[in-house]
Order: sequence, then C-alpha cells, then structure tokens
Amino acid sequence: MKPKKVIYLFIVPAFLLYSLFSLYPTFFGLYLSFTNWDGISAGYDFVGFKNYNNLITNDTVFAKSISNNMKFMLSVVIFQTLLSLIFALFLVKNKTMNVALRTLFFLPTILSSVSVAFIWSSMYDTNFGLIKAILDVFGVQNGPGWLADPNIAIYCIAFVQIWAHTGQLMIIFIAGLQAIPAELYEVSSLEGATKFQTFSKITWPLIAPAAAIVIAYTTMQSFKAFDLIFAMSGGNSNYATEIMSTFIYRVAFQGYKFGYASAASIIFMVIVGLITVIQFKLLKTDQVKY
Amino acid sequence: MKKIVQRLLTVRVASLFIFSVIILIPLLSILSTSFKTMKQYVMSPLQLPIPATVDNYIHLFVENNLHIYFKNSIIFTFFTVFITIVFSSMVAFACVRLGGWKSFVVFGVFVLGMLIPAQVNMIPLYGLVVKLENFVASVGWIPDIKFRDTLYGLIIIKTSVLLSLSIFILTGFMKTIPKELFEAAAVDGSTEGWMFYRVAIPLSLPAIASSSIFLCVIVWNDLLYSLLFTGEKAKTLTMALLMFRGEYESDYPMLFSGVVSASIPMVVAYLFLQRWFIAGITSGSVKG
Repeated sequence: MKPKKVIYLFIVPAFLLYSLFSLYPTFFGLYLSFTNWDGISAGYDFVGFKNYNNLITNDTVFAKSISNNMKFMLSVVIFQTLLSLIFALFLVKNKTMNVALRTLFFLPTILSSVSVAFIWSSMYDTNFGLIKAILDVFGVQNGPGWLADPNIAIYCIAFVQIWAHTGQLMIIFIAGLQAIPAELYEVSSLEGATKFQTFSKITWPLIAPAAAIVIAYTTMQSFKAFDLIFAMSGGNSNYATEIMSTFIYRVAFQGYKFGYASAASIIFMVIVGLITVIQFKLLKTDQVKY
Repeated sequence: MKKIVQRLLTVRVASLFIFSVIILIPLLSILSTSFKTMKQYVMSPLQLPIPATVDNYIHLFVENNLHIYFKNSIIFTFFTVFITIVFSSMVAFACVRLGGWKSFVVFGVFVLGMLIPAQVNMIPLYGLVVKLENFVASVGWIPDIKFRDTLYGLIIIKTSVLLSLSIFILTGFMKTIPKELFEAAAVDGSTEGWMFYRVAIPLSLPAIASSSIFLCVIVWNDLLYSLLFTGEKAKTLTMALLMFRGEYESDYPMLFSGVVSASIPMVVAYLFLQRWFIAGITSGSVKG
C-alpha cells in the first residue's frame, strides 16, 4: 500500500536545515576557494587557482600540517586498534570485574576534548606536571620536554587521543566478539585446538568486519581531532602540532584569508576522501560465515 | 602448555592493571587538585588535598559566572537534541514508508553529510552565516535574525549538522519495525501523522533514547561550533573553559575545578545510564 503524499512533508524541515547549513557550505567552500575573500568585506576578486597553487608549492606550514596529520593518524590508528582489540579479548566475558573495568575504560570517552586537553596539558607540564612529579620520585632529572619538544609533541597528543578513545572502540570489538556463537569455541576446544589456532581460525575471521569498522572510524576520528589539538596547543603556534584543521582555522580567523582557508579545506576533503577509498579497498574483507 | 596459559593470564592481569592506572591517575589527580590551593599544588602535586578547600569552585561560580555558562550549555544541549531527534525521526519514518528507490534517494542525500568532516565546512559555514546576517539586515521587513552569539542561532546550526548522523541511526532502527504494523494502521484509515506518532515513535523509543544520549554527549562537549559562533552572550561551558585557560594559565587547581564542574553532569549520568550511553555511542560509531 502506497503512503499518502503528505509523507513528503515529513522530510521538509530536516531538509531545509540540512541543505542550507550542511550541504550548501561544501559547494560554497569550493566557490570561495577561487576567491581572495577576507571574511569581512562585501567584495572580493576571483583569483583562479592561485590559492591552490600557493598552498601546494609555497606553504611549508601547510605541508607540515599534512605530515603532522599523517603521523597523528597512523599512530592513533595502529595503537588504538591494537589496544582496543586486546582489551576487548580480555574483557569479553560478562563478569562483574570485567564489566567494572569496561565502565572505567569507557569513561574518558564522555569527557569533552577541552577537559581531556587540560588534564593532559597539566600532566605533561615540565614544571608543575604530575608526570614530572612522578619522575622526581624516581629520581629522573632530565625528563622529556613532552609538548614543549617539537619532535615528540604530536605523538604526545596522539597518546592522549588513544587514552580517551580506546575504551570506546573496545566496546565495539566486544559487541562483535559476543556475536560469535559459543558453539564454535566449544567445538574447537573439543577438537583440541590451541588458543592461537582458535584465535586465527575462529575469532579473527569473524571479528574482521568489526576491525574494518574500527579502523575506518578511528581514521576519521583522527582527522577530526581539531578540538583536542586546538585546546592542547592553546594558541601558541610553533606549528609542531599543527594539523590541517587547525591550520584552516588559524588562516581564516587569525589571518583573515577565507579564500585561502577554503582552498585548504577542499584539499583536506580530497585527502580524507582518498584515504577513505584506499582503506575501503584494503579492508574489504571477504565475509566469513560459519 | 600450562606455562604459556599461565603467562598469558599474568600478562592479562598486568596489562589491565596498568591501563586502569593510566586511566585513573589523571582523573583522580584533577579531582584532588581541584580541592587544593595553588600553593599546595606546587609544593607537592601528588599529595592529597589536606586541608581541602572549595574556594576554587566558589571563585568560578561567583567571579567567573560559571552558572550562566552552565545554563547556556543546558539550553543548547536540550533544544539541539530535541529538535534533531524530532526532525530526524520524521525523515526516518518517511524513508521507511516511501520504500524502494525513493527511500534510497532520501536516505542517501542525508547520509552524504556524514562523509564530509565538519572542519571542511567550518569556513564556508561561517562565511554563509555572515552573508545571511548581512542579507537579513539589508531587508527591512524581516525580523533581525542573528546566528552569531545567540543560543537559537547556535542551536539551529548544530541541529543542521547533526541531522545526518541521527537520521542514519534512526532509519536503521525503524527499518526493523515490521511493515505489517503500518499496513494495518493504513487499512484502518489512519493518517501518516497518526502512524508516526502512535506506531513508529513508541516502537522506536529504545533507539531514540540511546541516540538522544549519544547526541547529548556530542552537543554538551561541542567546541568547534561554540568557538565559531559564540561570543560573550551565548558562551557555552566548553568555551568558558577554554577562556579560563587564558585567564589562569597554569593555575591548575582553578582550571581543574572548571573541568570537574563541566564534566560532572555527564559523568553522573553515565554512571546511572551506562547501558544507554554504550548502546548510543556504539550505534553511532558502528553504523557510522
């Protein structure tokens, strides 16, 4: 039975808001990227591909922000996926202790990035920080500079991202693990399979789709880490922790180069799109059914 | 063999213990530090706050008007989540009722928005808002609408960007409602509106509850849109926290009482409604 025509009205309110403030800006951004708009004045000129050209050939800070983004993404994706899988395997059974630990591991996920950023900025503080205090107890004199050291600052923030979100991804793995029928494990133990065999022949093939989701989600999350990095670097820009999104924000709102920032946004979108496609190809797992 | 199993068990216990400590130490330390004076903190960051002081909290609420930002964040979160859920469950319902290629198109158009990172849109979105405000001001007979530094403006914008995600989750759930229920209601001559209100919504309540909680966490913790669109009047709690940092630099006891105040509502809600939090956040990410 066909729905009445009135059903289309159900879509209208959401569509109006979505098209104006979510869909349209993407196209508007593409348009702006060919201009030299400063974000304030009414007029602007078309500059063709000048913004793109400058970004790609002349802007060392932009290049640095892309490389920082990649370092951040790779370290977060690798360690967060591994850790969350390991902890999921450890905590998969619904025992009281396991449930309590899951609750604890998940807790940082619900804190705001600003809170997490403040907590860890203080931990890393080389004068009054907690890590410094702990190192003092052990008599370590010259500890690392953490966020103050441009060589490791981005990894220090990656660690914080992992700290905050491993619990969340662990929960996704646990959901996947619990969906595996218990009979499979009974059979494998009857057959005398080793732990490793059980993992490689039963658990892994069946958890692979969940792993693909976790990896894809973590990748996106690490590109969207604007809040955390913005709040942790606290405005002092030695570019050691600049990623694409903080670069875009700074160029637009501190440099008043909206056209230029829009061009950077479009490049950002293309990079994210490319990585998503590559990942999709790599992670396309053959669905296993038992 | 037995030895290997034993060793694995030890590794398990050890790694769980270490990770628990890594999670707990920073959290306990900020809680404890927030009850210290700066002097106590500098003397020994590790020591417990004895004697404890609540001066930091009093200072934040009296001098820094934290209660105003609390109020702003509560209004912002409540209305954004409410409107998002209402509008997106309407779309989800339409998707289910339309069926076939029409449903595919509607769903596809909305889900497209999930693929574009918010940071890609932030500059053009800001530009659009500037232009809209200028346009509204230039046309005399339209009431003056301000999107910047008003709570309603912030609510409208955040709602718009959350719709994709919410439609994605809710459509997925509503598709599992047996079609016969709608058919039967239609045979009985019920209108689409009645069907939505009396069949689709009641049956989707679990999904609505968990995605509301998921959205609450996102909106309460929002930084990007508050950063872009609020000034003094509509400042949210996360923005206020960010500002404190400029004001107090490394006065950690002060900063942390702000962090604790801003986090307490979500943490308490989490401890009581854990199942829903986890269901919401996993449905948002797994299906996303």
